This record gives sequence, C-alpha cells and structure tokens, in this order.
Amino acid sequence: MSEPLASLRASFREGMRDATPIFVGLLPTGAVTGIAIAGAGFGYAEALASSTVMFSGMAQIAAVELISVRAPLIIVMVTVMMINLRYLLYSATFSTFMRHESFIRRASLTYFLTDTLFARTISRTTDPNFDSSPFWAYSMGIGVISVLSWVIGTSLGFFAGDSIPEQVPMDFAVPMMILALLFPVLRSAPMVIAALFGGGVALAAAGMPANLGILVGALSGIVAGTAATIVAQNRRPS
Amino acid sequence: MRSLTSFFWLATVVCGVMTYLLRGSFLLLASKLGEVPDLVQTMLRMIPAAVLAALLAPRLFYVDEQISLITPRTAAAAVALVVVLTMKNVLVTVLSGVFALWLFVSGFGWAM
Repeated sequence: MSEPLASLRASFREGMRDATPIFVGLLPTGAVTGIAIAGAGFGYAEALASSTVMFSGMAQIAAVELISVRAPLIIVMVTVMMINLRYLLYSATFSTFMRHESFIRRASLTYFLTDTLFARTISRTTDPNFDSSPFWAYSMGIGVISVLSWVIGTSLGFFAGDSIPEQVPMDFAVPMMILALLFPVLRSAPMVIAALFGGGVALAAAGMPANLGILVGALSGIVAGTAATIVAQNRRPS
Repeated sequence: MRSLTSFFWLATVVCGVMTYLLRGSFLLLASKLGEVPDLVQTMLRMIPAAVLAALLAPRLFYVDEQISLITPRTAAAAVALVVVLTMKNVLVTVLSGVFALWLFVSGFGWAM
C-alpha cells in the first residue's frame, strides 16, 4: 500500500503547486469580502466563519447584504440557494468521474468544489489515462490552497477594513462588491436584460415587506433573461 | 429585536450547510445526471445577473422609502462602474466606490 500512498501524496503536492496562480488570484477577492464584512459592522469571528463555512464569495456577500438589511432567514436562504444552484452542475460532472471513489473522498472533495476548482481541474478528466484516485488527491491539493488563500485574504481585508477611520462609509463596500461582481457577468444581451429586469422589478417592489422585493426581482430577471435567450435563438435558427 | 450577530451565525451556518449539500448533491450520492435540458442551463446562466442586480438596485436607488436617482450613493456607484469596466479589478472598484462616497459626503458636503 505504500506505493499508491506515495503517488497520492505526489498528486496532492502537484495540485498544491498548480494552485499557485489560484492562491494569488483569490487573495484580492477574499480581501474585499473581508473588507465588506468589516464594513457591515461584523467581527473577525463572523468574517472567518463566513469564509470557511460558506466558502463562496458571491453567496457570502449576498448573505451579508441581506443580513444587514434584516431580511428574514428564508429570504437569505432562497437567495443563497439561487446563487449556488450552479454547484449542482459541477457536482453532477464530478460525480461521473468520482463515483468509484469512497464516500469519505467524495465528501471531502465536496467541501472544496468551487468555481475555481472546477475550472482548474476539469480539463484533466479528458486525459485518456484518467484515474480518479490521483485526480482526487490533485483536486484536494488545489482545494486546500484555495481555502487557505480565501481565509488569508478575508483576514487581511477584515483588518485593513477595520482600521479605516470611522468617517469613511465602509458599509458601502457591500453594495460596491455586488456591483463589481455584477458587471463582469453581463456577457450577452439576455444577461443584460436579466439584470435590468432583476434590478428594475426589485426597485419597483422595494416597498414589499421582509425584502421580498429582492426575490421577486431576481425571479423576474431570470424569467426575462431566459425568455430573451429563447427569442434570440428562434430568430437565428442554428 | 434579534441580535444581528447571532442572526449572522444562524444564517451563515444554515447557508453553509445548504451550500455544502448543493456541492455534494450528485457527488455524495455518486449518482449521475442525465442530459440537463437547455432551458434549465439557460436559467442557471441568468441567475448571477438577475440576483446581483436585484440586490444592488434597491440599495442604490431606494432611499427613505422612495426612489431617488441622483444621490451621493448613485454618483459614487457611477465612479465604481467606470472603474470596474476599465480595470476589471474587484478590490480597486470597491475602494473607489467607498472613497468616492466619502468624498461626496464629507468633502463636498453632499447630503445623504
């Protein structure tokens, strides 16, 4: 058994080495998350909990925003669920490659299954010599470095944000992070329509109790963007 | 009034467990997914734009229970928008928005 264990270790270390660009890339986004959580008035323990328990930038910032405006738990849950529904697809993709691995291995990899990890590892599954065992170890190496970077980034950001003078309106960091995440995802006309409907309807419904307007807006945006995609496809038959 | 900090913990743990279960859905059960219908894929692609815009718009334009288009917050958001479109850097965008708002309110005395 020493031979496979040594090769697992090698794959794990290879993953950690290959994750160097991820480490550098995640630090600033983690830092902004820390700044935003500090700006919203929460403590370091809360920032650390958010980044380790959720470990999902866009969902974390949506949760902080909704918690700050005192939305009910169900609204926070539904919003985070919508944002993270894409993990179902990642999970299904990984499941086809990992189904012969033990439950412990699948359960441990589940924690690290982020956009970054998916994007970085998925090309390896097309290798003709693909073997799920070293692939698991490699992905765990990527995952450990990712969460490490995320936590260090969150910590640096939190303490930087916490030391900024009180006159600076740091609570504005949360909506500004949402803005910074929103505009890069507007890559097609239907996505712009989704955002316009999402924002427009949420604004028109802003008077609804319990921040329900945000959910109504989000759902309208999804429907409008999907409808726009279908219309565009029917105009240009492939 | 519930404590905001204890609510933060509750929401974080609940959302964390939910996120884990979404990541684990197929992987934990070692089950396979059939073809995902195009319609579902299209809807999934629309989610980030729709949800983020729905979170952002009321925060920027809904002040004191009414819609206001030109405020220090929207002006600061415009600055941040220029930065995100030109530099594509989240950290610089957030800092420029926050400091623009600070400048407009504390520097120029523009009332919130």
